[in-house]
Amino acid sequence: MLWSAYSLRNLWARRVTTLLTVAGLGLVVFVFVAILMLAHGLEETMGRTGDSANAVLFSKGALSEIDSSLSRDQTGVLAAQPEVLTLADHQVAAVREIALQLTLRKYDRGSLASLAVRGSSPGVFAVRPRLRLVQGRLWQPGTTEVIVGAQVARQFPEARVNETLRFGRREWTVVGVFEAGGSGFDSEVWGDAEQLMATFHRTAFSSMTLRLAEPEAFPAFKARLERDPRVKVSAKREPEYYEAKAEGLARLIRVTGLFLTMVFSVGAILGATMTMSASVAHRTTEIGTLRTLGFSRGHILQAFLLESMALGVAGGLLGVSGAALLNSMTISTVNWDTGTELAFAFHLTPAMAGEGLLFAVCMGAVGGLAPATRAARIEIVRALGERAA
Amino acid sequence: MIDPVVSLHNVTKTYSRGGTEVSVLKDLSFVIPAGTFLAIMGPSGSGKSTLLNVMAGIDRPTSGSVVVAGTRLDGLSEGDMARWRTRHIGYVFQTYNLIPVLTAAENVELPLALTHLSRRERADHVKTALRLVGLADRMDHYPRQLSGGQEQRVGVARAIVSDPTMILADEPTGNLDRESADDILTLLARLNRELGKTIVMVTHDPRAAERAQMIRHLEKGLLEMPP
Repeated sequence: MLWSAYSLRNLWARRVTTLLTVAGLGLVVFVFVAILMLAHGLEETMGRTGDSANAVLFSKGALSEIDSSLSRDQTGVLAAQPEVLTLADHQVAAVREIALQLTLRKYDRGSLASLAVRGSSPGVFAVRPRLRLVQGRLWQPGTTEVIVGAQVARQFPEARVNETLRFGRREWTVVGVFEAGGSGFDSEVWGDAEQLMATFHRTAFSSMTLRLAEPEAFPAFKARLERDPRVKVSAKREPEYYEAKAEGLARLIRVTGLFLTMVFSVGAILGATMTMSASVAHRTTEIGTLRTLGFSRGHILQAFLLESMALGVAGGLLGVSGAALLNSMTISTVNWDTGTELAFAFHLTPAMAGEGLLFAVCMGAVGGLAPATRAARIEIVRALGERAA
Repeated sequence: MIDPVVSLHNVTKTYSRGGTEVSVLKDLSFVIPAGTFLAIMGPSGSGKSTLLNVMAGIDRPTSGSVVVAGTRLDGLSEGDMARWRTRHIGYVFQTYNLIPVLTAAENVELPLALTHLSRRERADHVKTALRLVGLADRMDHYPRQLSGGQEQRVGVARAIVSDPTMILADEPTGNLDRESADDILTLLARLNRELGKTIVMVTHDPRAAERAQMIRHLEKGLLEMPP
């Protein structure tokens, strides 16, 4: 208790240098945690996209909807699988979808952005029941009406209800806005699959999404379908498929961000080293006094390391607090895996806060190790300045 | 016969300065009986602080043996020496050497942090020591809020709080005005007389030395023996 008070009060006694060092450490922790939040937010957004009761089917060998092609015959066979949920109106919970892209200008910067367009059918809300229409209405089959995700409505002026989007040499009226719980669907434009296929001269669908009556039957369903030579498809659970689509960008954010953090951390560690070295130089007599009173070299090492780690804790708390201000802030960027715009939010988890604090304490400990060792090695007589009298 | 607290045999201490060997202590042999208040006098550079440091176990002799409180110091490891100092030595510094970020009570408590005493026992010891030096009402004051004389009294309280075998004082009045110096010397004499503490005080002030029971002069590393 007394020993901790001694270390902590020494930090307060030199509060200007302490605060500067803490600010440096805090900045690095802020960047570190913000990067983790960013990558996690992206993965979380994509992971939230889709429903675990749903299976997405692609043509065999395709890696995503973009390079997949399913014929009408194939989709007919797939919709008739016994595992597919039958709805109250005796329809099966299955949608055939086509994936496209369109370019729009954003509100804020006026820059162009590429958006994902999904051709589907009105039954899509039965397949994805967690989605809800928050404004307007659903598109009418056979028309050039579209609905847009909440993030699209927020970011693009032409994507408000009753506005018109121009793509594929046709005009598409926005008739509704849907909310997809902060998932990747919020960054998409949905319309009638048949109209979109006709517009873009497509004869095949990109994928098919089925809602299973029993979600736990998916492994057996997948194994059976993928072995069936008639349908030639591969199946994935919907959330897993979308999560995998963010892997590349998330990895890029992590690798680049963590590399930058490491570079910054060298500066912060050097800052802590300089602060602690100055402290040791200023307190040499004090060290000699403590040693004379019976404190060992280990105690001195411990006291100075405790101080530098306390710097780290303070820096960590500052950085994590700063990063917490970003929590839920939404940003929008191009998902490299799909080439389309994706909006997602920073998300701070307790584990990230813990990692940020641990990182800060480690920086403090590494920065303080050399000065603390030097302090512990000082000869008592030399420290007291009493070589010979 | 009273057992000696300090027993030095053929102690020498040499330093190397700029390639030249300088002898600070030259073949010193003497004993200090328990309960003695000894003043060691000598001019600057005579080796008196070095002698004190050797007795405190914070410096090691180049040769010879040093036995203090029944322990031969030259054989002790660094860690054992630190533990031995905690038990047996109370040290009073010329410049008080209080820790500026700790209160008077916390400064006095420092040596007790190395013992197994409970928090309450430590607090009791601290109160007793500060009462003994007349600073019971300054417990929560920081060193910067105390006068030089008061700081040195806290230094004395810190030296006695763990009830060490011996108190070593290095020019304890060197930085004090006459009145404060007298207070400190009276306090040391009282500790010796009433509590039977063995005190070795290094000083170059004859008036301070007069308060001791015994005075020895150190001159160029040699101790002047009584006639």
